[in-house]
Order: sequence, then structure tokens, then C-alpha cells
Amino acid sequence: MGLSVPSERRATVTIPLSTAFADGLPSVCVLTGEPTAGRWTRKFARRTAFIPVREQLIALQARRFRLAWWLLLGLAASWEVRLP
Amino acid sequence: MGGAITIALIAQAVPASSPAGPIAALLCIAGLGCVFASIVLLLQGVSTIPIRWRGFVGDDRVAYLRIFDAHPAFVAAVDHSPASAASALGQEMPDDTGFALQGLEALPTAPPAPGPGRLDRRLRLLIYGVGCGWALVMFLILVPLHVTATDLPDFIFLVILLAALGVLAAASHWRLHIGRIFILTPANAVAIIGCAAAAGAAGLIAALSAQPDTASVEAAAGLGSAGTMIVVIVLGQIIWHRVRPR
Repeated sequence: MGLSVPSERRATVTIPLSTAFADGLPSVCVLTGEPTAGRWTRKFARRTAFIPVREQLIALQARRFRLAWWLLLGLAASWEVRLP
Repeated sequence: MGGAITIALIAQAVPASSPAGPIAALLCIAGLGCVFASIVLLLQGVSTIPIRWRGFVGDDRVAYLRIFDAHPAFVAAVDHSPASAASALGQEMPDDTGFALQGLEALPTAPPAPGPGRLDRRLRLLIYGVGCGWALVMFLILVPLHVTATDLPDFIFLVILLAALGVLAAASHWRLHIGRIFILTPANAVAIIGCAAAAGAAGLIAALSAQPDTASVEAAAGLGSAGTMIVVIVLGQIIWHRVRPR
């Protein structure tokens, strides 16, 4: 899905949840290790947490989001419109 | 994009009376492809940032976030930060791989990425509202007046799709990502199996019914097909991401 999986051994890291809430994580992509200022915003029990991810991932997600929207709107329109 | 919508528009016409004539069947297949592609992309759009995490409360009653499969550079950046070094003398909670990170609230950070503008957000909400309102009107008014038993599965399918749009609207507006559903936890496995069982039962009822033209049987068939499709997509996502059950 647009990610190159490096051969290094992946680790499991534990951080205080308040750190993610306060947007306090360093600007290093959690998946690729690249420097990034991007944040992945996610809900943790009604509160917003920030996990740094690569901008390309966010752009990919947004592009798929828009594409799915257009296709679904086309489908919904086609359901009602009948060609003569 | 316009081509895809055009194909879907043409394909939704009755093939026998379609002006496309002999290629109507091919267009119909292309339209079905558009339908399934849109659903898959819809799910991918809200679920494909592949971070696996789990929140829990430690013995010290502090909430922690455990991120799986983090890149070593990220771990090193967190581990060697000044705040982390300063807190090294404090309380630590080792995890599976020996990393123990505490007291990172004072870390210097870059400014957050700018979000969509206010007008953009309002316009998006307007589109979501119109879509969901359209679904509601269609379900409450059009279905009882105009839909026959034969058309009912189609409308149920469409309402399910528009309900998915509503979920997408909520996810976008309130920044609620539902990607975790594709991590195969025991609860998700039970939900998937339950959905598969319900879909199978509905399909079986539709197949074995002595009166196949009744509305209830058609509704069961529509729900069964929709449930089967959801299960197939979810399982496909799990296989695609090679998510290991924990």
C-alpha cells in the first residue's frame, strides 16, 4: 500500500497516552523513520491523539477518499437516472 | 472519474433497452466493477494507514499507548529525546522489547499540519448532509410509494451504501478513523463470523422460500448479499494487509 517494508527488526514502543494527546511525539514517521511533520489524527476515547506519519500516506488516504466519494455518488445517481 | 461515472450511468440502464445495444452487457460488467471499486476504495480511504496500536492502563493507573511495528528510527527518536533522557531516572515501564518511555510531554514538536479551511469544511459537511438527507427521504418516502418487492433489495443495497457515506462523513468531520476494525482482534473475528452467519442465513432463507416474490424474502436476499459483500471485503482487507491475529 505504498509502503516499503524495511528488513530491520520492528519494535514495539510504549508511550504515555498524554504524549500523543499533547502532540508531543518527535517528527519522525512511525512507519518509515523519515523526518515528517505530518500527523495522523485519531480518536482515543473521545480525545484526539497525534501520531506522526508520512505525508504521502495522508495524501494517499485523501485521494482514495475522494475517489470513493465520486464513484459512490455516481452509483447513487445512476440508480435514479434511467437512460431513454 | 467522469468516465467511470458515465459507465456506471449507462450500465445502470436496463440492458435490454439500453441505447448502448450489444455492448450493454460489457458496460454492465464495467459498472459493477465501478461499484465494487468504489466500496473497496471507500474502505481503504478510511482504513489504510497501517499503524497498529493498543491503548491500556498500566499498574500505575496511567494510560499508555503501545504502537506495534514501529520503525527503529522512530523508536530511537523517542528514546533519545531530551525529555526521555531526563525522565530516565524516574519511573519506567518496560515493555516487550525493552523500550521504556516516560514523561515525554515536554518534547519540542513541529507545528501541526494545517487542516482544511473553514469554507472547505462547511462545503464538505453540506455535501454529507445532502447525501444523508437524500438517503433518508428515499427510504421513508420513495420506498413505500414506488418500490415493489422486486426492487426492494436494490433500494436496501443503496441505502446501505448511503449509510456508508454517512459513516464516512462522521469519520471525516470528527476525525474518527475506523481502520482498527481491520485488525483481527477476537471481538472483530466474532463480528465477522456473526455477519457471515447472518448473511448466510438470509441467503438460505431466500433460497429455500416457497414464495420467492414476497417482500420479506427479497429483503432477506438483499441483506444477505450486502452482508456477504461486507464480509468478503473485510476478509480481503485483512489478507491484503497481512494482519496477524493477536
